[in-house]
Amino acid sequence: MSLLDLDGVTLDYLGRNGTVRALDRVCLTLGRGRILGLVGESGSGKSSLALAIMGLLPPGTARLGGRMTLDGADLSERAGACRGRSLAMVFQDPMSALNPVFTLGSQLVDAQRARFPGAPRRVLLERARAMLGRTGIAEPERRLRAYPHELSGGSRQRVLIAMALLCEPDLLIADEPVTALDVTIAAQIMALFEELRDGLAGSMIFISHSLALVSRLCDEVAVLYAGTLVETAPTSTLFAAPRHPYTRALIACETDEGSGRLPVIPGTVPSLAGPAAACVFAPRCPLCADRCRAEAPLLRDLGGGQRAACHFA
Amino acid sequence: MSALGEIRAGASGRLGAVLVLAVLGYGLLGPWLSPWDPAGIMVPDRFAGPSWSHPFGTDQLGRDLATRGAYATRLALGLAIATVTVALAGGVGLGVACAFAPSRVARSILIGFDVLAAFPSLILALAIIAAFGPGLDRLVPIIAASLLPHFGRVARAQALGFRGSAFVEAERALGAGTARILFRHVLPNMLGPLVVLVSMDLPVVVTLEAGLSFLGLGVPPPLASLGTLLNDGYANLGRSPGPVLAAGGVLVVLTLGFTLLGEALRDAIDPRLRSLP
Amino acid sequence: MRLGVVASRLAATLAVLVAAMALLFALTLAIPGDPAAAMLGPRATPEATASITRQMGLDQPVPIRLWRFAGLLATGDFGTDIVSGRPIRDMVFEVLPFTLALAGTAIGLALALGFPAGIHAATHPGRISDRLLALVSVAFVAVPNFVVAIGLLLVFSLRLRWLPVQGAGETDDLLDQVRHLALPALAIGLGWIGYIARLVRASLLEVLGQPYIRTARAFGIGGFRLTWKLALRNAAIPTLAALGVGFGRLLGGAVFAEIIFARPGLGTLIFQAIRARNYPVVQAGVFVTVLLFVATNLVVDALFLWLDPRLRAEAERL
Repeated sequence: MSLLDLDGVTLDYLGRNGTVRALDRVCLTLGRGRILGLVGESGSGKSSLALAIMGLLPPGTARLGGRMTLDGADLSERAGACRGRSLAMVFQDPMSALNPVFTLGSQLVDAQRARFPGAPRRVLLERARAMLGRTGIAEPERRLRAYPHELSGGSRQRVLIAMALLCEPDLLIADEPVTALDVTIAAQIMALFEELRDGLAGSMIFISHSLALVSRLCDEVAVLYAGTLVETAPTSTLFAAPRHPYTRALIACETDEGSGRLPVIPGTVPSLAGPAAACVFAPRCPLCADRCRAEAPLLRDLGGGQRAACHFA
Repeated sequence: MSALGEIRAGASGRLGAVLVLAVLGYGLLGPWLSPWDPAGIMVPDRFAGPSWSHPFGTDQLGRDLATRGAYATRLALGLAIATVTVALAGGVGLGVACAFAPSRVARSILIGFDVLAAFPSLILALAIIAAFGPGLDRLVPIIAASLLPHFGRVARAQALGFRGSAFVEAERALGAGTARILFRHVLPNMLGPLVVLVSMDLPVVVTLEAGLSFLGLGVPPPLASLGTLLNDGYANLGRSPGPVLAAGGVLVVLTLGFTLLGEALRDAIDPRLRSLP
Repeated sequence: MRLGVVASRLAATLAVLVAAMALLFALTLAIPGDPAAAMLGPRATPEATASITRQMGLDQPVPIRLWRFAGLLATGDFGTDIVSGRPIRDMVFEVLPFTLALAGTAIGLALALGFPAGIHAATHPGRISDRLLALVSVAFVAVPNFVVAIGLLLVFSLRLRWLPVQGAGETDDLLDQVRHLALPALAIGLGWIGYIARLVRASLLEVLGQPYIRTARAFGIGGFRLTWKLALRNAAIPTLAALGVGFGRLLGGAVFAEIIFARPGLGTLIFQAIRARNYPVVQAGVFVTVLLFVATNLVVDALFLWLDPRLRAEAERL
């Protein structure tokens, strides 16, 4: 049985100027021990999806539809109980994700309390120290007593990764963990992820806007565009034979064929507030036909674990 | 939404505006419309309850409370405006000077602010009155002195923010002198926070003046001040609660109204200042 | 915390105190007319006036007076009261505990009621209780505390006769003292309950929106533990800042409360001294009040450094 099952997940944000549809009928499954790369540009809904799974959407303004199950349990009810135990998350911005007035040790201990309730602080602190070492923090003993502002961005991200791993989660979601870091530091963190991958017992969703990053780390890739899942496939298949026009364009943008000018995707992402054309990519798609504007393509199984939402895939 | 529009939208802002208008009406029109002499003593009528001829009743000397209240309100508003103007002029002047002046001058100004701020406002006023003696003419500078550090620091902070800004540098590059930069660019931009400050501090000034008058150290009798009315009432509390209720009521409406309006103004002009309660 | 940080703050505070002393002294020079005669009032005969003038050192040249003044304040010896013949220092320290008790009770009351109210409002924003709290707290902050005090006096002492009208109560009877403290402390404290509630609400709301709170939630930390342990620790800092500044208003409020409820204290002492044109006592009382205010701010600043490690780092760097 798959670990994570998203069935028709729809997310609307209710705002002063109307409703914005951030996610539209997202269907996704993730097996155990697998690493999924979730790719999309800014505003595609990737972070919203992560927050939806975690149950951390802002109450009141967010309306969630569809079913999400983790290991059979319905996440819309059980997310709170799963957080810090079977679910863990690494956030995008390490500078603001840590509480400035508490020591790192104290925060790492608190993070484990959901997973190991009642465990003595000493034990949790020791586990934290060991994990800091595994994630590449020098002098972990001293760091436990330090405050977040004393660390660099890269080190803080290592701490956050350690925090997530300490929970031994079934599912770890990393939301653009290296986007806010310098290129060199980002490379180090990516190396860390690859190192940890083999020792990882659970599954992971790695969110990024960069296909390149995802290609190295992930077993499968899912491509999100304007709230719609347009293609999913095993990594090698996706890069060898992308079936959705958006995926193809994205790959072309990132790989430089040496043809002189950088390829771009013409047009802009549609406003999610207005009425949508039937196929969300229609305005910018080179293959767009009348059928695309009238009828929304659903994710179709194309064999070999690949699915795409396109009439012409 | 425009600033005025946002004020109208908030319920508490609306309430504040209504209260302020009521007070302004009372203070400005009351003395005109009233048939009574605020100093007119009519002992047989003392401690009368509210009636058609005396809407708020009378005080211990038979004077009409509604009339005295109106004159007192007018006095309070006048004093408050004068005080705030003096404090603003002094504070902004010193604050801006602090930002643009050589560091030795700036530092001594700052120490001056700190010294004034080390005294709680009432205590400062008491200390000065103890030396100079009470008097109506002294009230304005005394109360203004306690406001000075706050206005000065806000003005200084604003001016400092502008001193390093790009458009000031651009003006300098074009050859504009310091004075011109100050008047044409810095001061108009400070208007927002200063307006908020004034509206929030007006009730403070009124309170301080009323408090000093209550202690007998402010407005001298028989002039009507909200403070002296309150004191008269307090001294005769056993005989009748009327004067206390009247004077207290006017004070409550005045301070509450200006505070609510000031907060609505603050939220409309610059919600960032919201962190200052 | 490094010693250097503490020392520099102390030095700055001391400088302000010295300057305040200078201001008080300068005011002495400004007293119009003859202070000795003013103090004696109708009993002012030429001999008495001259004697008092000599006693108070008013006939000395200014530098000597300044020196004497500084010496007096530095040693804490405020001289002898001309009117009563008692050392002024005794007079001040006799009434100081009453003022401290009043201020302390008012703050305690305000914290005990204001904190939970603010937390409730922040964790249940937009509800009726929140809006009600907002309006009521503004009301009590805006309205002058002497009006509130007289109102309380009217209702609870005169009409309902629940609580005593004036005084501080019998010295040996703690319960009686508490009964006498109740209304004055409430008069000052009511405004503060609202003030603190709004402060706590505002800073807590801002903290709860921060990314690091989301991190905590992501790891299953929630509810009680989240609000009380984590968020409050962060929200305490701006709250404390505003409290420190507001303490001056508290002292002002205490003066009124003491006078209205006829309690002994610094306020009553200063007030009566002003009416008697007894300037040395006024000076002493004002100085001690300023000292209290400045000391409180120092304590608040120290608490800051303890609460916020970022400030500690900054302070140590300077």
